[in-house]
Amino acid sequence: MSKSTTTVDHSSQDVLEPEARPVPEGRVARLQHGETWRSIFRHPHLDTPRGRALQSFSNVFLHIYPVKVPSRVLKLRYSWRLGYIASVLFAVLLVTGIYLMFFYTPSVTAAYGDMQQLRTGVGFGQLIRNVHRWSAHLMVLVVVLHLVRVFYAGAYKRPRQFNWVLGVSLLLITLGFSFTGYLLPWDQLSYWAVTVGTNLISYVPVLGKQLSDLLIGGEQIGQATLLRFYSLHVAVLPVALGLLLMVHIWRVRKDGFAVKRGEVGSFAEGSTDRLVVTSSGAEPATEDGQRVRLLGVVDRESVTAEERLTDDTVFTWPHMLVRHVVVGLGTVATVLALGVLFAAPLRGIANPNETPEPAKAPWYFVGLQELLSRFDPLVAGIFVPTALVLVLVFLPYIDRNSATEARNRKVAITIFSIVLAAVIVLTVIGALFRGPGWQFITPWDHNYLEL
Amino acid sequence: MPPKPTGPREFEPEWLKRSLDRYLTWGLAFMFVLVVSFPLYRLREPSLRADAKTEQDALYKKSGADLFSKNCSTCHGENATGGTAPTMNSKQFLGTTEDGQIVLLIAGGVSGSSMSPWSQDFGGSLTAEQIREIVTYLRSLEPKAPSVPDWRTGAKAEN
Repeated sequence: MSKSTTTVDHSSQDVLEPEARPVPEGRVARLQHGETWRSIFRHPHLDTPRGRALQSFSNVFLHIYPVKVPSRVLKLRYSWRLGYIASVLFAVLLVTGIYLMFFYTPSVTAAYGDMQQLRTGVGFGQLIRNVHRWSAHLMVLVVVLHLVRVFYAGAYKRPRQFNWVLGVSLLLITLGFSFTGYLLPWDQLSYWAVTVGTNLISYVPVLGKQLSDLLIGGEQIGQATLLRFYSLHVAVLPVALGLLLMVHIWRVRKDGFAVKRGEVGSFAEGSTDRLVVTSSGAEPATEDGQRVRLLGVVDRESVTAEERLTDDTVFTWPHMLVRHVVVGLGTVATVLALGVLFAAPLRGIANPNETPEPAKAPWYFVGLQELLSRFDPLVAGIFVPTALVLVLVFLPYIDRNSATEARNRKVAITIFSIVLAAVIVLTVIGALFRGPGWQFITPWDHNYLEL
Repeated sequence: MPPKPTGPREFEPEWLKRSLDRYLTWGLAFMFVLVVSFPLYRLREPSLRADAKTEQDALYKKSGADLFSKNCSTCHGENATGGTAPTMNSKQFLGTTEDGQIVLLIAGGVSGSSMSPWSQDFGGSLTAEQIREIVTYLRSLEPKAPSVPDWRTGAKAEN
């Protein structure tokens, strides 16, 4: 069996049962080898390749991760950890959201008073609301950036096409989350932002009226809308997002990391071909009828490290895991700092008879609002966004070019960049350069953007 | 560089360990931010809450004054100085009445008088929120309220 230069075989020192090893001196060591500790952690902390692998295998939480990852995956600029940060933000939103649910009644007569009470009478109420709001905005932003990053990396190509579809669905659910949550404070800001947003639906040909009725539950936004948005926000969307996210992460694990494969090592091209494990070791399956004793069919990935040639992989535990935990802590620290420093806005109570000027949609829809002010509502409000979403969803099946290097996919990158630039420009104009009556203004004189 | 077979950790290159340590240091810094943020916020919270209350009262007072002049001033007089109905802007009235009592009076009206129920619950035109705003407005008059011992009769009431 050949040994790599970087991998030293310690298997002779590995013992599954710690009892077979002399227990080291000291209280901590005695505790770690004691009955109670070992009943919780099935494998002792062995600083050997096999020990690391055993700890990963035997831990339910580490099952999301492969035992080893290509060392390039550790680099921050590989993915900027955007997908992971989005999941952390979702977790923050779940926790803070549950706290807010304790103090919130989805009723037009009580909701606004509850928001006031949250500010003036609930311990950490304002802070938790701030964190919830900033995390929500940040999550929309991070999910969009994640999509942009995956596009430019070409990581939606075979075999990851379907995971891209799942990812776009997750983006749409995220937008739904943010939009339904926007209405809940029941102040002027939320009432009118949602009014502007839901007006779009009535432009849908033929079914517009029915769809709008279904979502709003009446002629205008009222008690029925608030209850519908609340139910979607706290029950339907979390379950939908949770399920899809589970599949999305599972697929990342199963489809493999989108890194350029090395020439050698366990992530080399062809290394995941199916092998027949024989009693004498791993050999390619032969078709010449040679009789082999079949022990099992495994992916090369799960063959133990000692059998590999040179290897650019590192152990997930601790390297990937520590990076994830630290990035997660950084994310939570960031939203907490934002929450301490900036208060979430709360305007006067929702008043259907008093339209604020200007009434703006939430920032991620403001580009659409800007487009609507220039073109026919059917074109700008329905055809353009629908086409955009459809192309985005089916992108991996439309763009069938298998190259991932930028120089071999100039057309796709050019089109995507133009659309992205258009979306950014429209959003910036709509958000910052529009004042009362949707007149052009300069943002350094007046700011009408509210988050 | 051939690995020295001294310790059990030698199966990993040096740069990996250094980079892990760097991350762990960042982790400690983030933990510090998390641990410190909550008590710091707790220290600031009472003043934040008081500010929020002041802001809310100012907002309520303003819309309460609007509502009062639209709905109540015909009988109770501009600035609640009294008309055909009782004078609200009175040290005696405001000093002896709780907010909850005023809410009930506006919401349910006064039987046997021309004060009808104003709450939408009883067929009136005001929401609970709007009644709270009017009460906040009336309460804001208290510090400068003049002494009007016969506030019940109103300034222009026909006796």
